[in-house]
Amino acid sequence: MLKLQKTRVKRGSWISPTVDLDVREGEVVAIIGPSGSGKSSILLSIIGVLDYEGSITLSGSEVRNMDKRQLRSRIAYVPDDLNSYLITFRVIDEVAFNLENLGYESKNIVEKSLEVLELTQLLELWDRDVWTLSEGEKQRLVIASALSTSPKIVLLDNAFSNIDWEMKKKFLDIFKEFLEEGHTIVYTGYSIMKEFLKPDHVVYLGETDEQYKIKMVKRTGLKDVLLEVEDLWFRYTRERYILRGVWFKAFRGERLTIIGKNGSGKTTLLKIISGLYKPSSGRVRIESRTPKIGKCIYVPQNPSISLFGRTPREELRYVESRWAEKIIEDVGLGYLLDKPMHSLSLGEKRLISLLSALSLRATLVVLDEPTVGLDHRLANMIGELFYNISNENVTLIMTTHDRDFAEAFSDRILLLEEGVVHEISER
Amino acid sequence: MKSQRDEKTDWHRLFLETSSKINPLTAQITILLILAAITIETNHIRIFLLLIVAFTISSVYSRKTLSILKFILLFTPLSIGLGIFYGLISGKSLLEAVFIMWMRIGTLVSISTLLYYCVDPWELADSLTRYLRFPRTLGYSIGIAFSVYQKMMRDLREAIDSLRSRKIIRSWLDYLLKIDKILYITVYIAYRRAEELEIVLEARSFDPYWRRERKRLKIKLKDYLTLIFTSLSIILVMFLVG
Repeated sequence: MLKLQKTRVKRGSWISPTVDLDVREGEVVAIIGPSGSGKSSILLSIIGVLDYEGSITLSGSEVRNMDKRQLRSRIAYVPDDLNSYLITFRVIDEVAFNLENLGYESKNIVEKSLEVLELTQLLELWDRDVWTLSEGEKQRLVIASALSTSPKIVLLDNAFSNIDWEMKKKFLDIFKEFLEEGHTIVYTGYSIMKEFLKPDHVVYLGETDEQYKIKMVKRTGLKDVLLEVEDLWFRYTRERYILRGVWFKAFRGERLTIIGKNGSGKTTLLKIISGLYKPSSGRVRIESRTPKIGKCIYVPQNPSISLFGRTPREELRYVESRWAEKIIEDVGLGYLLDKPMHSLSLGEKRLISLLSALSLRATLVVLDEPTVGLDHRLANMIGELFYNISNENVTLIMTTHDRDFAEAFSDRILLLEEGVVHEISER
Repeated sequence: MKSQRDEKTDWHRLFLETSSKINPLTAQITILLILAAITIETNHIRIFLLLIVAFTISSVYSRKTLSILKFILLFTPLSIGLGIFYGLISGKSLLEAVFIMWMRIGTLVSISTLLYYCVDPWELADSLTRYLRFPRTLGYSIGIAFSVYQKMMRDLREAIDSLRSRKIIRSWLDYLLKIDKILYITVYIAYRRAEELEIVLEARSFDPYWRRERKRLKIKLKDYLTLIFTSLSIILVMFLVG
């Protein structure tokens, strides 16, 4: 059905590894590789967006010669950067967008959209502004939108990095049904999802670690309270409080991880702690004082918007961090330092954004999903960095869906559920 | 799987309804009327009254009075610059020229927020091609530009939050002193958004000639009332006041 022969993609002076692949209907293919290895480029060449060398054929026809409308109605693409994919402002408009583009009749648009909204459990959010959805809800929306046209092949570009485990299981049911109907899935990632989407073929585009290798020593005896969160309530709209009386403390030098389902309010909580949002009621105290912007460093989930240097070196020089440059050179990524920022992969940008924030050595750093987009090798490196920095009495509070990362690199894990925090584990 | 659909809900109707707070065509006509009036009017009292009309219409529809005021404030340096230039070439006193130009730009900014806050960019494109017979490529280019602009403003807010959090921006003065950083990040975001948009539109099968719009762009009672209110206000201000 889909065949890649000696296929490679050129983007400027960069050339991807050569890929050979023969996929039949109903099969699952995993393209595995580290950040920046060319996984996304290969997928984009399959949908005819990027030009390629070699051959890519779909049911015997060369992709570059196919009628684009025919090609797009048969292949759907889900990118790793959700915010770039979303293009309208309401959930139902987003789901209907691809159908409108392919010229479907109104009646069919409604039926097909409702079907995928139900499938992804987004029906009750039909009228919501897309930009008020949590990252996980956005991910479901993007998948719903991609499935709306009933494509023969779905290309998932690192599409499960930001979904909680419960939602992953729900998607497994959706995709099982999809595969049974003879459809094909090609996904990219840093490791094979054996328990989730067991692949029939695996393509490796470079080496990466399959799991977190390091288990950090838990810091004990931390007594100096740095952060106090007391009875914190917050709402975006009148109808619903997203935080409903959150209480917790964080100690100086502690690595504290907050986990929770998509949409549970983790990002909101971090923004309140860093002084960017004001709580509806309750209070946050850092060193017994109300937080001011700049007292605590906030590292957003989307690294692209926080980088303003033309190159990583320029970005890091701005915070006068020879320290961060040295770290990058020591792990053999020195070649990144002078690359144009826009040419870096999502994982590489995240690494630079994290290092830039950690270089400031604030007493408190809050990190929103620091491991999304990082392969295990980079995540291991970041975990080690967190450990070293917390030993210098810097407190790190992070959110993640990656339970393995939380357990490997945190002193304490909190669960945010239904707007309330519970302490769930001490390793 | 158990259906989550409420049988009483008329989904077909909901899918065909527009999400804009004002019909895009009504918004465009309202903006044109105000712009025409503000361009030909020279009396500062009448211009001030037109500013009030524009501000009222935008505030009522968007319910973002403070944000509109912020926008007017943001454009004040431009108004002052243009006002000085206007004063020099028209022979008016500089103070009067600056004041008139500030009110004109303020009116323009206020009424333009109708498009920013109250109109869905895709419905705008739809109305341009359907009612005003714009070529589809042009109509959709305008719609897409609006959509990217709205996305960019969100990105920029997040970016500024990040700069504030990292103490790169500490005070209002830093917005001026570090304007190069802010401009760089703005240009970078715009460039990146444009690059992504090209890929996403292709991946999502967008082609202005294939696209079939599903929504019904009805002109409702409130749209007629807005047009009547705007027209009557302009007539009242321009012909009866003073």
